[in-house]
Amino acid sequence: METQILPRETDELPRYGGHGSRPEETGKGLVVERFSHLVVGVTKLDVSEAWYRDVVGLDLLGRDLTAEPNPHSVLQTNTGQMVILVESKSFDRPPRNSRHQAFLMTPNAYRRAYERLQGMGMIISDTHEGHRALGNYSIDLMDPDGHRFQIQTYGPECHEYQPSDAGVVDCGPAERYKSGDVKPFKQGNFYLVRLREGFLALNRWCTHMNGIVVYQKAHWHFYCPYHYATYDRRGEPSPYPGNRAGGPLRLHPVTFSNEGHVLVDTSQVIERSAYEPGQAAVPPSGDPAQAVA
Amino acid sequence: MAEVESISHSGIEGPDSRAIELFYEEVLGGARMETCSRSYEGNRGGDPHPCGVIGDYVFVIFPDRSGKPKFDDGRIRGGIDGDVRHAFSVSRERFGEIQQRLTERGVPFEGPVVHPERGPLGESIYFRDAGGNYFEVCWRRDAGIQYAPVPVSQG
Ligand code: FES
Repeated sequence: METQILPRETDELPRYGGHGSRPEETGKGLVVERFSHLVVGVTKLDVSEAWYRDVVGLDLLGRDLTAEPNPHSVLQTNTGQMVILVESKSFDRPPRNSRHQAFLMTPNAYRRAYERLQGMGMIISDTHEGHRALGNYSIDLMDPDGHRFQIQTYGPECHEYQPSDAGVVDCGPAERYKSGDVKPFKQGNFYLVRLREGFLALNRWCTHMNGIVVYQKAHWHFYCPYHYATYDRRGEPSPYPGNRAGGPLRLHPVTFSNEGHVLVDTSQVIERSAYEPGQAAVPPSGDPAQAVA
Repeated sequence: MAEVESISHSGIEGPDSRAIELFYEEVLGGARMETCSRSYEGNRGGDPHPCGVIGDYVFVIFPDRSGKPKFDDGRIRGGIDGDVRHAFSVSRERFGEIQQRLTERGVPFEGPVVHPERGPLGESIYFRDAGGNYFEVCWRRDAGIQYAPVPVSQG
């Protein structure tokens, strides 16, 4: 029986690092280049070596390959990061705390790990399941000595556009909106924004990883609570270092009915690389909106 | 081929202060620090906390409110007695820079220790942060061969 929804099948490599990070977010002038390895104290080297190799799925490089004074075993991920298991005679089981490490897999490797763990009779659980962005998957694990781990993957559904079935949504008379207005439409999952130039219908899926953005009126921007990307009212990513937005928010086409109502076609989505004034739909009257700020 | 692509993040504990963020920024030389806000972390029952981003890896520092002293045993090289040690790699040319940064900031360290030639590591130095967490910085003999970063999204 499945106790967790699984990612769609694919061998695609992860598009993100930990917590949705991207290497280009790293600070300027970084001296250290990357995470190299994790050293883990264990009580029984043979038992732990088998667990990290057969349960987690790391490659075993060999024994006693480093200057660790105690007997140790070196295992490796596909990107060359390593786990070094060091036998310790004075080992204290780690207390329950926030310390943990996460292994990242492809969706298919994650699916295989899921089956493997279920086959071992493990109850699959993810403490934060309810708080993950769509397409993020995670399983909590504990090694034979009580060290906490997670195995995780990003499924393709975390960065693919998720269409709604709302079709064309009637947003009411265009004249009801004044410049600066931002109105959410639950049906269709978009915000209608009235700019000086015209109307934009901004899809609410974040372009980082399909989180859902919310409009923060006090800050004049859209905010994604998953990894805190922000976008201005034109849907453009705010220009601060580390903003995880993957590009501007997607648009839905906006047209106007004969009665002057704003119609948003949620069955179509427009990907874009930047905002251009021509993207804003101008009502037939062509009345310039009254600016509020 | 392993079933695991990478070690993507770690959660460690440390004092809830800007000092620990500065420590990583200064010692590791540019790790980008950010803060997980209360609106993000609070909604899953946690506290706001700093994160450091190094390439495709993130380390998350959870505030340690236990009040227990974490750095009272005088050990510098450790992490195997119930704890773990996190190691970052640097190019062989810039390995000395990390030692210089630690010296300038008065952070005690052990090493450099030379690793056997048959293994993947070249030399390592060892130190601890203000939370007592164990760290290592090394250069790797296999740097030119094994490095295969996690590909990043193109859009
Ligand atoms: S999903 Fe990551 S910032 Fe929106």
